[in-house]
Amino acid sequence: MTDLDDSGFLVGAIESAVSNGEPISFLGHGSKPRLVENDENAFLCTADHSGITEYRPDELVISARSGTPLAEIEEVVHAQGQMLPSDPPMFNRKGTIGGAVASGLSGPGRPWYGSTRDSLLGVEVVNGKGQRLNFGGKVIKNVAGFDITRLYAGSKGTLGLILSATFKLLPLPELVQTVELECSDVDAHQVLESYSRRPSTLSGSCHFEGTLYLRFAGASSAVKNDVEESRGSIGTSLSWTELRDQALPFFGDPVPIWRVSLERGILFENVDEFEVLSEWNGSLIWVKTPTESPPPVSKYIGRAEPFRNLYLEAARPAKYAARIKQAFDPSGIFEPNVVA
Amino acid sequence: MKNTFALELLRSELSRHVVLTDRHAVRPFETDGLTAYKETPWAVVLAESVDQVQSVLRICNECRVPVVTRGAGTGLSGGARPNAEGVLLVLTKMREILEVDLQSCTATVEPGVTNLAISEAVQKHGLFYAPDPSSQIACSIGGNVAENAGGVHCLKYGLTLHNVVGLKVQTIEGDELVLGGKSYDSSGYDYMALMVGSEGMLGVVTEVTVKLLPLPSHRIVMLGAFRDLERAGECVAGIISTGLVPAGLEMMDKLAITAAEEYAKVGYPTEAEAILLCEIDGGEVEVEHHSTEVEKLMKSFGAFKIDVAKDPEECERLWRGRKSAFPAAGRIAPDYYCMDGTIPRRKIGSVLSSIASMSRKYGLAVANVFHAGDGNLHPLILYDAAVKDQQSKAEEFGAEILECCILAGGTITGEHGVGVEKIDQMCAQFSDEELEQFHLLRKVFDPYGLMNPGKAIPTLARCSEIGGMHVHRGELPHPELERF
Ligand SMILES: Cc1cc2nc3c(=O)[nH]c(=O)nc-3n(C[C@H](O)[C@H](O)[C@H](O)COP(=O)(O)OP(=O)(O)OC[C@H]3O[C@@H](n4cnc5c(N)ncnc54)[C@H](O)[C@@H]3O)c2cc1C
Repeated sequence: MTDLDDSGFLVGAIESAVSNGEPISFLGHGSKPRLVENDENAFLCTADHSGITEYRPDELVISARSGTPLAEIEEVVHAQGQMLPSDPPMFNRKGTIGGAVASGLSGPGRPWYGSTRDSLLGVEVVNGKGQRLNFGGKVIKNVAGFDITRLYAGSKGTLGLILSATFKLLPLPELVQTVELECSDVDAHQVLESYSRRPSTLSGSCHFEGTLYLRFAGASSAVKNDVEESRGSIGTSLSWTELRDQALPFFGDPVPIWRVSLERGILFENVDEFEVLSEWNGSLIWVKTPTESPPPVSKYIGRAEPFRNLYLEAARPAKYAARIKQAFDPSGIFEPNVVA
Repeated sequence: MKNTFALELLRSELSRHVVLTDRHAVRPFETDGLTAYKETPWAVVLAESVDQVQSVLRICNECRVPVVTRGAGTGLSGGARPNAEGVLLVLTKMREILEVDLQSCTATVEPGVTNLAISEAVQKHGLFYAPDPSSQIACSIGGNVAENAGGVHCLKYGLTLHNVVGLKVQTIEGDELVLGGKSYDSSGYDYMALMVGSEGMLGVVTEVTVKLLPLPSHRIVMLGAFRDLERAGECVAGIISTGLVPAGLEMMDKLAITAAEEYAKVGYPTEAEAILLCEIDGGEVEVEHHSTEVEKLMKSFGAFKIDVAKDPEECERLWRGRKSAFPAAGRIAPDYYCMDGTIPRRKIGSVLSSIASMSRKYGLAVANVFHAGDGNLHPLILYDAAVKDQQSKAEEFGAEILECCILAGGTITGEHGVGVEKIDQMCAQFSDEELEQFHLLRKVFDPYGLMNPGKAIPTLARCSEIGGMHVHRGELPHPELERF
């Protein structure tokens, strides 16, 4: 575990990029797939700016420098019986906390534990003027000033460099069990719908190849009860970590894979019989298509984005997005190839 | 300068009965829940539709007239205080529940719908809307969004920000922003995060889609009585650090207990120096198990009496005292001033004793009743505005409490917002560069600074004028000097 404050170097590098008007991109450990490889950009790497700066298990709050590997944070908080609620993907286990904030991605528990943005409490950032700024803080409730902290979640580096982040933690559940049910996507949809309207310890769902996997987590008495009521069999064949990190064989296929976010409670009618994996109560589906054209999802008011170029979105910036960018990065040097 | 041309436009575009300027008609809107700050609005518009909201915003933008949005006016930081030369845009008439969608477990409502009305409307489906500010019978969901309101159940279920999934927002330039929605992801910058807690300065919220949760099947409310305030504070940190997540964990001190008991007659132990109210919900076995654990913990921190309520009426009785604490405080003093700082939980005990010594210094009593599990303090400073100097003393006392919260590593406001009330303490919490960034962000949505001007974000000039010092991450210049 490294403990190194490299912020002097990072801020200096940004200051000089600002004064020379050079474009700059950020890189943690390069764990997230990236299509745009633009040699003209300097890549500023946060990997050396690493280490947990404050962890108080009794407060359930942790602060770490942006280059700290998520795996390291996980290890440290697990040892205290705690977890990062949103369980952000680590990919090859090298993903950093800064990358998790900047990409805003969340793990399989997202509908129940909230998103990465939800548990983010504070950030220290460097904006496009080279200023070091602190927003949010280390307490659970904080409404002083606009919520710039959460604006940085999912900002993909376009608003500046995240130097450190503070997260709220949750206690690890006493017991976690996975139940398997053989069923079609239509039946799976019904099962999941029935859970949304009654209290339970459900905290993860995944359906593919005719099996519905339900993860129950919480007080052991409650979990046991839910497992029994589910009438499925306890199974261990699905790794939620591999699902989170897109390391299941499903994701290894070279064909195009689309990440589709559906409205809650809507069933994707798979008329073309694409290969589909669903999670998040069926609201996040991964669709493999034989050609480069996206699956037909517009009627579900969801969104499809190509998985492999997670960082590239074609949408033109709306008026306000351009102005936000301008407010934080007046000379437009950060991540010039990303349109947030 | 009052812009009479703007008024003519408003009158000609909107039906006459929604535009009020008569002195008597506008009087009820002089103040929000922070009654010490009054201002007569120049014109009040009681908007009945999104079209009318858009007209008001367009006219105000074109004529450069300030516009202050108001929900139910229960805010405690003067956020909805009118502008003497501006329009007060009141949204309480837009109070329809547009849709309850059982498939997605969401409700879509107009901004003037009260917080409680949502839970009441969906109760028959076994669902509820989790954030429950004590003002929930009156406050509007639009106001909740603008303040990122919390409540006693936010410890487990999150704040407004965690429970709102979609918004429609009207900007002063005439754009409608459709934000979030029923899917978990949305593209681009997180405008929702910006709008929640923006205190009416970035746009007018005209539609809110909230997440509905299944009502828990079982719950238990426990009251632990303590002879020592600091020990009760330590017990809060003790409960949280064991890994339990109570649905609510609230604390009251002696003055608050006595006032609430006199007012609500719910059987609170008035001999106690502090009580903790702890609610546990979930499945039957889990609730039993966790409440036994809490009971043990309370005892180990010195609770001399523990009341356990299991049936719904008993639970309601224990909460009723807590929920009536504010009006109860209103009965023991002519005026009270409610503060809202948040601190790390482990510092509750020490900050409360600092507040007690400030109370002696200023000669003003203070009652504490607050969201202890979140570390969100609500000291109620009791005073009498009719007595010379008491108002300004109360304000000074409040400012000192907030500085104490910043020093403890916390923040000046947990849920009530900055408004006009805490604007000077913003200078202590943020650096000039940070404040500048807030101003730049504001201009993104409101280039002329017409929406709720003078609130929430102080100008740099104001900060240098008051000469307040910026406390950087809990480190004050000259920490060796005693300040409280
Ligand atoms: C007795 C009492 C108890 C309280 N308890 C709590 C509590 O437990 N937790 C808590 O969080 N708060 C509490 N409050 C404070 C208050 O009720 C909340 O801040 C509430 O969210 C305000 O809602 P409102 O509709 O009254 O808003 P208002 O007071 O009318 O307005 C508040 C702010 O929101 C803006 N605003 C209002 N509606 C809109 C809109 N549609 N679009 C854009 N901006 C808008 C206004 O401009 C203003 O800045 C309490 C208040 C009282 C009087």
